[in-house]
Amino acid sequence: MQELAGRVALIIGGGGGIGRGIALALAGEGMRIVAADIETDSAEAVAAELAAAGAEASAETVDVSDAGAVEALAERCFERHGGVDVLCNNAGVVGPTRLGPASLDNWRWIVDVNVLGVVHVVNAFVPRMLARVGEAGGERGGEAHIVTASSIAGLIPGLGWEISAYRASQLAIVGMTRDLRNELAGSGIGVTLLCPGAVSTRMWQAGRNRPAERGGPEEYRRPGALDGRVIDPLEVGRRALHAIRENELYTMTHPERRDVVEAALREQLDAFDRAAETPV
Amino acid sequence: MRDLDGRVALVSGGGSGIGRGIAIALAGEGMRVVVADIEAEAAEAVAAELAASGAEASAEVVDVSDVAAVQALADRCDERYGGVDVLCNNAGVVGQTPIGPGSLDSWRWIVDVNLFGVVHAINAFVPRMLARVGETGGEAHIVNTSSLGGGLIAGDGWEITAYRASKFAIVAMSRDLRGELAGSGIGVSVLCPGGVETRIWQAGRNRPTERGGPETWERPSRLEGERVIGPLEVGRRVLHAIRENELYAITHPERKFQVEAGTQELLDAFDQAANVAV
Repeated sequence: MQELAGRVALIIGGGGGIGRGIALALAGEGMRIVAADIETDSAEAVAAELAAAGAEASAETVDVSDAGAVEALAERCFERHGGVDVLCNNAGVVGPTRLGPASLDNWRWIVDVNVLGVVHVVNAFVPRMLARVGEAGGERGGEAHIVTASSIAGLIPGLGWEISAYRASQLAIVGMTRDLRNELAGSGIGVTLLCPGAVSTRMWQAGRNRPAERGGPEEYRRPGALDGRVIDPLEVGRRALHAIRENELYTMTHPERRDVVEAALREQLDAFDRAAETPV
Repeated sequence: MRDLDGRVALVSGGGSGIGRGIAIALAGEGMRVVVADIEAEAAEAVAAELAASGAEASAEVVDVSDVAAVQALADRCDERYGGVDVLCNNAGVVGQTPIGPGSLDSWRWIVDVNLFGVVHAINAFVPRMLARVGETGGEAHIVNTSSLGGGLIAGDGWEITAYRASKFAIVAMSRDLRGELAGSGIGVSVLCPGGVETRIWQAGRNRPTERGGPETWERPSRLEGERVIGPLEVGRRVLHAIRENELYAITHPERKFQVEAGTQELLDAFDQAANVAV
């Protein structure tokens, strides 16, 4: 998708971190930005920051784990802004899920936000975006793009169970995004999976928004230091912009982590060879 | 895990298909098999089949999406069999989830059974298995059933994405659990079968009322033509994985090229990122 100026970008989880980085990068191309977040204040702060820089921006509040709220957001976006051309699925949470029944609240919360959040957004926005792209035809290029943020955490070897809900949800998103890209192939809607490594964000404080029915706010210290080089969200935003322009399937931010991902994937491929060698 | 004779195996989704294949393979090694299924009659039929061939077998009813039912099953297994040595988390369903709000019921149902079913079983059984292994100094093993599609093969579209996403999640969970339990005496495998003769495409018969009730659909025709193997072969593959503590149990090695293609797409993206400064 090449023509971005004047088009509408919705960034879910846009009130901070990677979402803010994407919002800044897209606003810099003249896009009209809708920053949506579960934290109204954060969304408004980012919208104000963009507006101060001369961009057209507004804020919305949404809890992506609430299908009704996502559907309502889609209605509002299409009413107020005439539609959404670039959709960034960036809301996500992490929390500890140690072995034992007590972790079930966090499992539910993390899957509700990270996996079903994406499902709700796809279900609410994609039919509307398809209709819009279809109507626009050749005149406006009839193009749109969806960026879903995952993490390389779903691709690297497992060390333990502590954040397995997060990692499982990220690998689920890899599968979902890969499928969505094929589903929308030829429609004019491109699809990218953003797989960042360590980024300087507040993600490890996501527990501040854990809902009451899942045990309420929770403090969590991430297990040890972040792996590897920690980059700025603005760099991730520029990566996302590049991905939208080039319709990249997977977008990596930490090319130096290739080896560790390759080792994990290689283990899987080797199992096919072993199976071929050992008939049962 | 080498010593299987006389030990206890629990197979969820054991009332048919791959679960039955695993149950038969493990019973053949002298294991005492607990066949658990959401369908009581199916579980009882497989338990009777095993008993008729001279094995010790019993049936249990469980809906793995119900955390309390899984906890209760773990309690019963402790009481009746003294615990579980081989845990096969095999219950799984598939249904269609086309794009649009109408598919949300099926999404929830599939995630509840396929993903949370495994979470519930791991939470309920693994702490007990750790205690048991610690006391006896022995070995134990966990097998989670994923799918060949859990191995990074691209789907044609969104039609069965809930199923595929849940199977991807199971691969990640199995890798993490294996890391978590390394050195404990409990091994972990993830079963990634291709086409197998089972009734999985009729899983909608058990969709619960609160998710829309029973549903029938035809399996996607594009799956026709793939090599379909018998569940007994899958059972033997699982037995091999348990013995050798293999992380991935693969039944269709000829489909490596598909996983390789998915792998290459990911690795290419790293190269692309290295070549493009932003």
